[in-house]
Order: sequence, then C-alpha cells, then structure tokens
Amino acid sequence: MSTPDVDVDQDTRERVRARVLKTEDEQLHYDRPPQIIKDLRSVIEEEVTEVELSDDA
Amino acid sequence: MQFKHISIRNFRVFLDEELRFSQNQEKNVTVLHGQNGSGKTTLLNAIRWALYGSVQFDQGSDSLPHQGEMARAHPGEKVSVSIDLSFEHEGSDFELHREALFEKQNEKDLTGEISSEDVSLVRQNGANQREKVNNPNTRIEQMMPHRLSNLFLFDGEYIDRISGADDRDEIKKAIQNIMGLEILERAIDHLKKVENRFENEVKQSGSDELQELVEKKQKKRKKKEDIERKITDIEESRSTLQSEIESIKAKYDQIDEVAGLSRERSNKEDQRSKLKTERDELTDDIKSEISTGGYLPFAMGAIEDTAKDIDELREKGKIPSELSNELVEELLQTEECICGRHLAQNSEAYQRVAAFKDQTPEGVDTAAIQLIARIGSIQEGRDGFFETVEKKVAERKEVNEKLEIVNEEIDELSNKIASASGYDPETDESPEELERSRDEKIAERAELKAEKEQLLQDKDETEDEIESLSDEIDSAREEEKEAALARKRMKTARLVHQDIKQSFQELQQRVRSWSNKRVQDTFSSVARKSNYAAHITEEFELEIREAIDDTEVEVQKSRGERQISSLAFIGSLVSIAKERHEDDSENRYFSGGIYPIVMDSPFGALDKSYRREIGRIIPVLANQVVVMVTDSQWEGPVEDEMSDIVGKEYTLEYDAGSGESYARTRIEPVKEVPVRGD
Repeated sequence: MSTPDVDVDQDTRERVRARVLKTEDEQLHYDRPPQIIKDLRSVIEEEVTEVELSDDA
Repeated sequence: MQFKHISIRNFRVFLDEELRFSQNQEKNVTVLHGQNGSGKTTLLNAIRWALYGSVQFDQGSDSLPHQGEMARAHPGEKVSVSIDLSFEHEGSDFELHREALFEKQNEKDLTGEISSEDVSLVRQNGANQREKVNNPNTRIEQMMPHRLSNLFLFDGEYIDRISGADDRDEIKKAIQNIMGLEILERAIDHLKKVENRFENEVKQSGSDELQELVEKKQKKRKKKEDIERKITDIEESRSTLQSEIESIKAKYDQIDEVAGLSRERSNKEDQRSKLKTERDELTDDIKSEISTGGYLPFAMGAIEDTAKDIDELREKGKIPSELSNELVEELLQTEECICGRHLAQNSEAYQRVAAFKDQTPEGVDTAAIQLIARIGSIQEGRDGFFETVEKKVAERKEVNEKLEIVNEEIDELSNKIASASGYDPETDESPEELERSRDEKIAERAELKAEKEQLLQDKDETEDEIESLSDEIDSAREEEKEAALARKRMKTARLVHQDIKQSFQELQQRVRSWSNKRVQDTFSSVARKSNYAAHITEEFELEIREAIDDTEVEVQKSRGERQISSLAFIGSLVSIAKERHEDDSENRYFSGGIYPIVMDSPFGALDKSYRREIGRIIPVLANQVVVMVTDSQWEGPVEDEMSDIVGKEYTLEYDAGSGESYARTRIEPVKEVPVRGD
C-alpha cells in the first residue's frame, strides 16, 4: 500500500519552529538538556493534532 | 557585566584575601603581578568557581580547600571554602556568594570530601533595598552564559589554541556561541531525534492492514451483488417457466379430452400445496417444543436423584429444621459452608450465607419439601413435553399420508392426461407432448428453486462476512489514523529541521563574514606590519595574510602573531556581543551582553615588540580587563604601553610557609586609582 501523503501547512511549520527555538533557548544552560527530546516532541504533538484520511472504505 | 570586588576564603592558596577591580572607563585595566606558581590561575578559577561552581586547572590537583586549614581540622570536621563576588549588571548591583563545605576524611586528608554547596545572589535595588534572586545559577547563566566563559575568562593556552590551524572548531564554536547559533545547531540535532521517534511509531502500526481489509470488503460486496443478480435472474426464469406452465394448462382447456382432467389436477395441486404448508408448520412446532423442553427427558434422572438425597437427609435430621444465628456465625468464622465451599471474606458466597443472619428462618425441611414438590411439577412438564411432541408427530404423519395420496392422485391424473387423445387446435400439439414439456418445465423450476436457496444461503454468509469486515475496518481505521498522525508529526519534525538547518547555514556564513570584517579591523589597528591582515576563512581558520602587490598570501604565523590574531578575534567577539546587546532591532537567537575579560598570562614568552603590541590591544578588548602577569612579562614595553590605563594594580605575594604553616598567597595593592563613586 502506498503511504498517503500528509500536508503540513506553512503556519504550523512556523509555529513549531518558533516554539522549538524558544524551548532550546530556555534549556541552553544545560550541556545535555535532559528533557529536550520529550519537550520538542510535545511541541509537535500540541501543534499537530489532526490528520485527514480519505474515506473510501 | 562589570566586576567590582572579590573576597576569597580558604580557596587553594588564598586564605582570606580580597581585591577591588577597576571600574574606571579611562583606566579600565586591573593588573595582578605574580610569579609562576603564585596563584594567578587560581584567581582566574576563583572567579569561574564563583560564577559557575566549576574550575579548569590544566595541571595539578583540582582540590579547592586551603591545605593549611585542612591540616588544622580534625577528621570529621568541615572546612568552609567561599567566595563573594560583587558586580554590576545592566544598572543593578549584585552580590554573589558561593560556599562549599569539605569534610576531612582522615588525619592525612588535605583534600576533603565536599559535603554541601550553596550559592546565593542578592540584587541591590537603590540605596537600601536588597532582593534575594531566585534560581541564582540560572540568573548568572542568563547574565554571562557558561558556554561563553572561555571567551572572557581565559589563559595563554586558550589564546594559543584558538589561533592554531588545527583548531578551527574552537573558532567556529566561539562564533556560534557568541551569535547564539548554538540554539539552531542543537535544535537541528534534537529535531532529528524527535523525527526518529515519530518514525518508530509509524513503523509499529501496520499501515497495509486497512487497505487489505477495504479491498476484501469491496470483493465481498461485489460477490453479494453478483448473488443478488443471479437470484433475480432465477426468479425471472422461474416466473417465465410458471407462465409457460399456465399456458400449457390453458391449452388443455382447449382440448376437450383433457380439460376436465387438467382442472381436477389443478385442484389436487392446490390441495397438495396446502398440505405441504401444514406439514412445514407442524415441523416448526416440533422443533420449537424440542428446543424449549427437550432437556427434560435427559435431566430428569439427575433431578430425581437429588430430590431423593435431600429427602433422606431431611428424614435423618441432617438438615437442621431451622438456621440459627449461631450456626450462620460459625460458618462465617470457619469460612466454610455446610456444602464444603470456601467462604472467602466478602465474596458473593460469603454475603449470601451472611444474609441468613437475623432473618426469620424458614424451616429448611419446609424448603426441602417444597423442592421435592417442585420436582413433581418438573415431572409433569416432562410428561407434557412428550404428550405434545407425540401429538404433533402424529399429526404430521397424518398430513404426510394425505400428501402421499394426493401425489398418487396427481400422478394418475398426469398419466391419464399424457395418454389422452386430441390436439391443441392452435399448435397441433398432443396432450402427451404438452405433458412432456410441462414436466420438463416443472423439473427446471425445481432445479432453479434449489439453486436459489443455495444462493440465498451464500448471500447470508457473505453479508455476515461484510459485517465482520466492517468492524475490522473500523478498528484498523482508528489505528491508521494514529499512524497517519504520527506520519504528519514526523514530517513536521523533518520540515522544521530542514528550515532550521537552512537558516543555520545561511546565518553561519553571514556571521563568519561579519566576524571576519571585525577581526580585520581590530588586527589592523594594532598590527605593526601594515601589510598584514587577519582573516577568518570560510573554513573558520584564523589566518594572517600578507599583501604582496595585488594578492594576499597566507603567512606562517609566529607565536606573537598568533597571540595577536587570537586576541583580535576575542576582542571582535566581545565587541559583537556588546553591539548585539545594544541593538535589539534584529531577529536574533542571542541577545548579546557586555562582558569583562580576565586574562591569565596573555603575553607568554614573547619578545618585547610583540608584548608591546599586545599591551596596546588589551585595553580595547573590553570595557573592563583584568590581566595577570609575571614581572618579566610586565616590565619594559608592556608597562610603557599600559601604565596610563591601569586603574588598579596588585601583587600576588606567595609565601611557601614552613614548619606548621602552609603555603599561602596574599593579594597586596600596588596602585589604586580612585573611581567615581568610590
């Protein structure tokens, strides 16, 4: 089965980018920010909450 | 940030020393003279430790407590090491205090084991307002980030290192740090990991399953449509055949010899049809009786045996005639029912037995009698079952016998029709021919009926399969939705990663170009050879080039030139940080800052001419400069160049100690220039 493509609009990209950089900035004082992967993942999960699927079944 | 004052207690060679930094704008340099081993590097590290709680000694022990204090302490006692650093930052005064307690482990222990560390930061607002800053480490990090500290607190070795051809990473890192590019670099690295996490989620979901199910369902739907079409065709064919049979019947009406026989046969066929319906209804009734009361003949034996056992127990008095509270209590306490079943606390069985307490007990033997009496009604039910079924079976037998007679009569009439004379006046067909044709059509109808019944069964099965597939599709669709969401998040992480990477590469080159210009300007203002210029190459190497005619050729740097170019580079970054701090119009990832520079032995073992150049470059590096030098590095050209811009001057007096006393260094003022407000 071919994987259906998912579109990410420009607004979402920019919002995620801004929040990612802000999160990095807040944790810049750590050599290895312990929570950063989890935090960045949450940023994306909060910004990308819906997906459209074709309804052919 | 501008340092004001430092007090050092029990920190390595310093027992209890203090010094005040020059804050005079015209005389912004504080000089500390000290021979090798007198504590210059220790003083640099005292500032590092106060700010960040960490030290960087290139050689020797990292041990912090003063050895004399450790020697005087008894095992188990603690020696306090502390530093107070006061500074001014963006118009406010701050007092930073860091203290650590080191516990002596044994008699010979002069190092101690750290048992606690505390840091506090107080902000002075106006004349008498003092405010304790929450999270002092974070606040310090915001004022002067640790990652930048090597650019502002450094020794001769660092200067040497950043000018080396093999250390382009140091240059790149320094530029990225000062411009805040590290945020982008980290985001690039971290987003890749986030993307991988989402990718794993996508992999874990079986994305082919939904499509397979949908395809299966579509095939089943098509199969059902085919079946329905066939059923319709069969119904049409059967209807056509029925019309043809009716048409033959109409022909018989036109033939005098068979008209009466044909009508009589039709009546018999109607009668047969009714009998078949009656037989089918009786068969359904028998099935229904068996499904509702059919168990009785099989269970009756066991029911009768149970009733007999209870009756015997009752007669022997083994079943108490009344349930007393005492008996119920005993059963609950022993957690065992009279039937031997375990009565676990608060279990359903336990609750049921407990419910007998305080009830008006109904005689158990009465209950037993009632049970035995009830068995009688069960017996009656069994007898009734047999009676009904036998009656229905007999009725059906009777109907079957009637059917048999009617079938025989129909066969006889059919034979009479087939052998009768006469012809259809329109088609000239004989009754025999018509009867043969009729038989064929009846047989064909019967075949089609069987085929239709099979198709109806297939249709039911296919509908069940479609329903089951629909449930599976709903479930798979949920999973697919989650997978698609993970896929979208993965793509978002990838796209933002690409965006930031592109910004990083563009900005890195812009910043390199900008730093390059700044380094050239700083270097040219102090270089003694006017045809020499410093460059930061595209590969982030710090080069010195000599202009020969119209071309520039990289020159092999001498140690002095390396140090001058390094200091020019550091000075450039300091001024960039200052500019970025003052200019907030640009979209930036780092807001910059104003930082002092503390240098340990920046002159190394250079000859006089280079020392003079470095002496000229130092005051322009930053708003506040602290330099630590040996006498030999200071005397001569450096002193000539710098004496007019030195605001405070100290010597580090090293006392090696003897007997019971341990080595210590005293900080003695040499020269103080009063500053405004001092």
